[in-house]
Amino acid sequence: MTHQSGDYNWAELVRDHTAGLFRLARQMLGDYQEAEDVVQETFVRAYVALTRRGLTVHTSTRAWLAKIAVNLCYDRLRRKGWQETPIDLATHPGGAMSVGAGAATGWPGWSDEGPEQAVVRCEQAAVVRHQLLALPPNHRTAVVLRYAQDLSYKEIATVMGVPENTVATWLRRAHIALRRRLEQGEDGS
Amino acid sequence: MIGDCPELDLLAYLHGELDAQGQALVDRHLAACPQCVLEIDRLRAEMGLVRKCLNVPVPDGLEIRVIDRLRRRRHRRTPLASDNPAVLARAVALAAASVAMALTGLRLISPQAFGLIGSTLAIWGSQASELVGRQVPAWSSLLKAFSALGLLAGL
Repeated sequence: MTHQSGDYNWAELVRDHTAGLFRLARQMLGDYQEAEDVVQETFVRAYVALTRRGLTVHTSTRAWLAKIAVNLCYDRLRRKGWQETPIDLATHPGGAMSVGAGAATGWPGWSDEGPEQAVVRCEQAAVVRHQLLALPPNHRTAVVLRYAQDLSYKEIATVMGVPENTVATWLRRAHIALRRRLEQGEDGS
Repeated sequence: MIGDCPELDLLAYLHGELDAQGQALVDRHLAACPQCVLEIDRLRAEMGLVRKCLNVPVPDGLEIRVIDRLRRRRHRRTPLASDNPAVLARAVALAAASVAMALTGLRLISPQAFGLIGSTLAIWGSQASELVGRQVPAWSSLLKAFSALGLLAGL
């Protein structure tokens, strides 16, 4: 799969990839404003690379843009010394810890739940969010690339510069860690 | 370990990452292993939960702001390598060194050919200096120097 500058309709590209890139950056950095900055910078870099430097893209557009965004996020995290990304779960959009949060956040399939189901869902969501933030940066990045960007193992491997087997291992470990936390939550410990 | 049958990568199966043979192997196994069927259900539930957690709302107007920024970028000139004086100076020095080495070699091999080429370069340099000098004065001086060198070589 090869793309050149003339192959791109930029309005279409922005429409198709902005949400995914924002979620990727948001999860990696834990900050809405920084995530927005990363999305804008990602498109600018892509634009400059294609139109000014005549770059040819040899992978999927989604993976290529994700790679730019991941590198920008790593730069910012490096500058911050790879500190834990703090997120105020009670107040940030998409993290409301109240019954009916599904409807408020627009999460698909959550709005028609009963109150008890919604409470359980919210608790699980909080555990998952905490667990994602607690993962090592590489594992977290692999999870986000897989579930927010729908990249294949091969594409994730390209983005992160590791073998496909490593990606599979990271994803398995992330699921194991997540399950452990969910089970701890259910036990009330 | 995920699941009770360690030889099977159920997560890769759900992600559609196994080849046709591997996929068929897991399909056959699931028909006979209720534990792995349960495991598949748990993994599906976890995957759904993670997807929903990552599906945070995108700020209003972000796409428009990105498009605006790209539009502004389109009208801004990006400095090219050739506009950078340091890069340009290095390129010119390298080219001059290459020409000098080639001429030195030629002089050792054939002094007559060296003189002929030197004269030719002097004429070209002089003409190019006049043409380019109207556009880029700095290049004009450089070409004049080049022409003078060629003249010396010709003599």
